[in-house]
Amino acid sequence: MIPRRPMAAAIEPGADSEDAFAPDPVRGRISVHMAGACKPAIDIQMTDSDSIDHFLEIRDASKTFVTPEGELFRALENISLPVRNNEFVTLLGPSGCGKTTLLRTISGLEELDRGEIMIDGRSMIGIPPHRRPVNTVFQNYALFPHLSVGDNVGYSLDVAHVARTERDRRVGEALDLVGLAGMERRRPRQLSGGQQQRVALARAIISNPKLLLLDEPLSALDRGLRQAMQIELKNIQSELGISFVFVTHDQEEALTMSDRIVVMSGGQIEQVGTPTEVYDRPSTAFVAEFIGESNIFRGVLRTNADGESELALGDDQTVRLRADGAGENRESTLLIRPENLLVPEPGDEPDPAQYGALDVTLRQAVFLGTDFQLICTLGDGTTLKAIVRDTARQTVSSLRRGDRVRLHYWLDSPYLIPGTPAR
Amino acid sequence: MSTSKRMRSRFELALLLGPTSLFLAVFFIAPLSIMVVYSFLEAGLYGGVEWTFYHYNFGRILGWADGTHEYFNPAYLWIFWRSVRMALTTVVICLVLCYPTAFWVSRLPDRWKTFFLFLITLPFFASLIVRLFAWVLILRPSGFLNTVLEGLHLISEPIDLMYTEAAVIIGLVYILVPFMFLPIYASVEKLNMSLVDASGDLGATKFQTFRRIILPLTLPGVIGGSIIVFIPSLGNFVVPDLLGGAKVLMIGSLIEQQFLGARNWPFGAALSMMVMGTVLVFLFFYVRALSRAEALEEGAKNG
Repeated sequence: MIPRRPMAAAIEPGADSEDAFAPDPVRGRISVHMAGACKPAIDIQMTDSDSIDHFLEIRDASKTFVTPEGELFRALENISLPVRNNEFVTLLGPSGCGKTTLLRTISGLEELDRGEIMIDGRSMIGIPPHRRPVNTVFQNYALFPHLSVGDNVGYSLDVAHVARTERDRRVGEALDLVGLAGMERRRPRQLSGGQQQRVALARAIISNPKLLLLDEPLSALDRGLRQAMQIELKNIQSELGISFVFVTHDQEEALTMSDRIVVMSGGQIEQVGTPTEVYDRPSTAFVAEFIGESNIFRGVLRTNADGESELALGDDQTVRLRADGAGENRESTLLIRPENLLVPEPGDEPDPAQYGALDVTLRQAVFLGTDFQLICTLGDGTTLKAIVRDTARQTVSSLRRGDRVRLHYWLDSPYLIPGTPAR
Repeated sequence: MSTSKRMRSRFELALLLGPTSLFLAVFFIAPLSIMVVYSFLEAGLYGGVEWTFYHYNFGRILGWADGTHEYFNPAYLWIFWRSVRMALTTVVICLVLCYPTAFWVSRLPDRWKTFFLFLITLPFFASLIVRLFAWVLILRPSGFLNTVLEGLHLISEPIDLMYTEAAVIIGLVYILVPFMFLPIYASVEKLNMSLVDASGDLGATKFQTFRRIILPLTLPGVIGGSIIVFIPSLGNFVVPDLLGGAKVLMIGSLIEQQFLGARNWPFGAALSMMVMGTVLVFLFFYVRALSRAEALEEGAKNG
């Protein structure tokens, strides 16, 4: 576990000068990259009272749009979210969930109907975008086509009338940081998608914002480039020591990069947590289904003869689980991740005291490279997905469509989604 | 093989370009050449031309007339200057009307956009003369405008707008406004509004955003529209004849008089050459600005 960069680094006076993004001449870029590539494994516990650490604070934000058909669309409903200094927060959700609207209200491109946004302890009510200490990397980069790369990157300095020599130096440094040194005189159209993305990033960070907003910046890139940029963005974030609010609909991207993920749906926050929290302990069925693959069962939880909790499935089988204080006779929603289901080697039956079992019919086995995805059905036709590894190519490879298979699960792995009645 | 292929493609190109080239040669180059030649010939006594070289047609306008047969009259330069001034005023008024309107229309929902574009082209469906006579009815002392203003007690006696420069400019703006609107609208419609968002996000005030982003990106439409409005307003003679009468003589009317009334074809041709020269000067600057922009794009493609 790599310790998180101390908070003081982000708020010390030197960090907000233009030196903040100057590459470290001693360590160089490579060492910085390697240090940044390791995500903090465990997030620091938040203390809401300590608001001085919250560079950005969204309080009870609501916004309603009128659609062209004249209907009201509630884009944001009572959103409250503190973002700490030097934190990488991702707003994750399907399209239309309000994540981009929330980002635009932070940058000032949209006004809130209700609630307030505090940046650096100052309320942003009535403050226009150009006077907010935040910058945005737009979805399709929004590079100015009539300006050179250098003029694009230096735009915020030019409108602030920064002296020519200092401006040129900082443009050079910003381009250096994103790996485009010496490209000042090119035109945006002469660059590849990945390079344009870097120009947009350099343009957004050159005036040393304490908070950078990124609106699906990687969605237009192809897969390989996107993965490389994910790591690079994360590195640049820790190098600059500023907060990033990142919008995406790609759960993989969110899990890879974030310190905290804010899962949104229908204008509301479903869950806020570290990547492992939202994956392992989703607070709603929506989160469980949106992030990762999931098998979700709904039913009444009861205690069996052995004193274990169990949930009855549609075909008289039960899912056993060790959940303390799960409550009796309550409508419950249960999550089993596909990778928590196993197909044991023949003759290697797991201990029934530790493992439960489900008998299913195999419908399809898909080889994914490392693992096999098994698509199975329960007796009542419910689909069940399992991801199993079969390195020896004996157990799963020998299975045929229609075979009866016994899937096992460790009794700790079924997870009761809290407080969600069957929908 | 490749030579014959190239020959064939050349032949095809000639075949495709032929009709247009022929049309332009017969109906544009030839009449223009006649005008150029006539402008250097002596006027015939009863119309037509004498085939002797005679540069005093231009001398009469620009100041080297011989003083016996032809007299230098600064009135021609004065009329010329007034025409340029009125044409430029027309361009500026059209620009002021169209530029904000184009932004407004471009933000409307699609069906309203189509409707407004239809409205813009609607005047083309009625005859120009009919529409201009309607303006006579509006502007004359007992006309619609004065009746309304008097009815509202805004004026005590009628304003005589007829046969003034103002009336001519109103008429020119009225008939030429669509030619300004359409090119500007095309460039405004192309403008990516996220660039405006980005500019504000990067700290630019609304004015800075306009000057650094919106104006440069819509400039091709502005320049194009200005040229298309300037050329016909400079040479127009219908509007000044109907709304300006004899008081507001523009160069177009003067040319018309020389050809039809005074039957001095060479002098009319010389005046036409002056108009064309002025237009060419303006076009030169336009093409230079345009080719500069295109060279930029070309560089972008090759890079």
